[in-house]
Amino acid sequence: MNAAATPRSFGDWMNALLRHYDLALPAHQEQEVYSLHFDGKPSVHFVKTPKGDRVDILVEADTLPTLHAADKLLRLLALNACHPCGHTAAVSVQPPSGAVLVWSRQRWATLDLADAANLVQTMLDKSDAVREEIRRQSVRPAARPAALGRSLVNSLREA
Amino acid sequence: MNMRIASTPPAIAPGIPEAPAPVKAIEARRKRPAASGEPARVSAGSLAILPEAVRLALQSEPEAADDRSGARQDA
Repeated sequence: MNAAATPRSFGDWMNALLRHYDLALPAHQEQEVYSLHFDGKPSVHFVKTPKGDRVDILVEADTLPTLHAADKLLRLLALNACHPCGHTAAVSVQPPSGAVLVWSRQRWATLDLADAANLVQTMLDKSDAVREEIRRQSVRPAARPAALGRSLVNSLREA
Repeated sequence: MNMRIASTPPAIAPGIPEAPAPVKAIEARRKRPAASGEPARVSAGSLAILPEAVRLALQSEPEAADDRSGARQDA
């Protein structure tokens, strides 16, 4: 977003983003929360931070069936790797519900609308990856041949 | 664009003083079908319109996903 188009308020910035998506709200008054709803995708929520200079962008991707599945948690952690778009979008788990959120906090005044749209797409893609990882069956790692060999030798010694 | 005010009615229970306030959201829907990657509609309002998990996360861990570059600029 260039200097001439710098929004004066969070509400202005959100209205500009909505126009970018060919949407417009009837009321011009700034709201605390704006939620974008996609067909067949989770909703993306924009919440102004208490200080007002940043926006929390959140997607509720899925819910973990259990909080005691370390392998699933480790795979979700791997999704926190940096994305080429350059903006942080973290995957986090909320105990005790097990809700898995994709979350990013940005300075809205300096976040270009095209960048914001890219970030929304990145977060939806990451949300798809979260659901895929949660639905993937847990697989117990196969025993290594060396360990099997030692086990066999021990069995023979005992016999 | 179709616009409407959506609301969920408060739980009306005589004798129970703390009925939740109505959750009002302003909504707008696009006229033409949304292309891939485009939102079909938008809703806006107070924190009360957020799903419970999102609202709880904001209340419990407000700094959890802080943008690191922004944090450095603040320092």
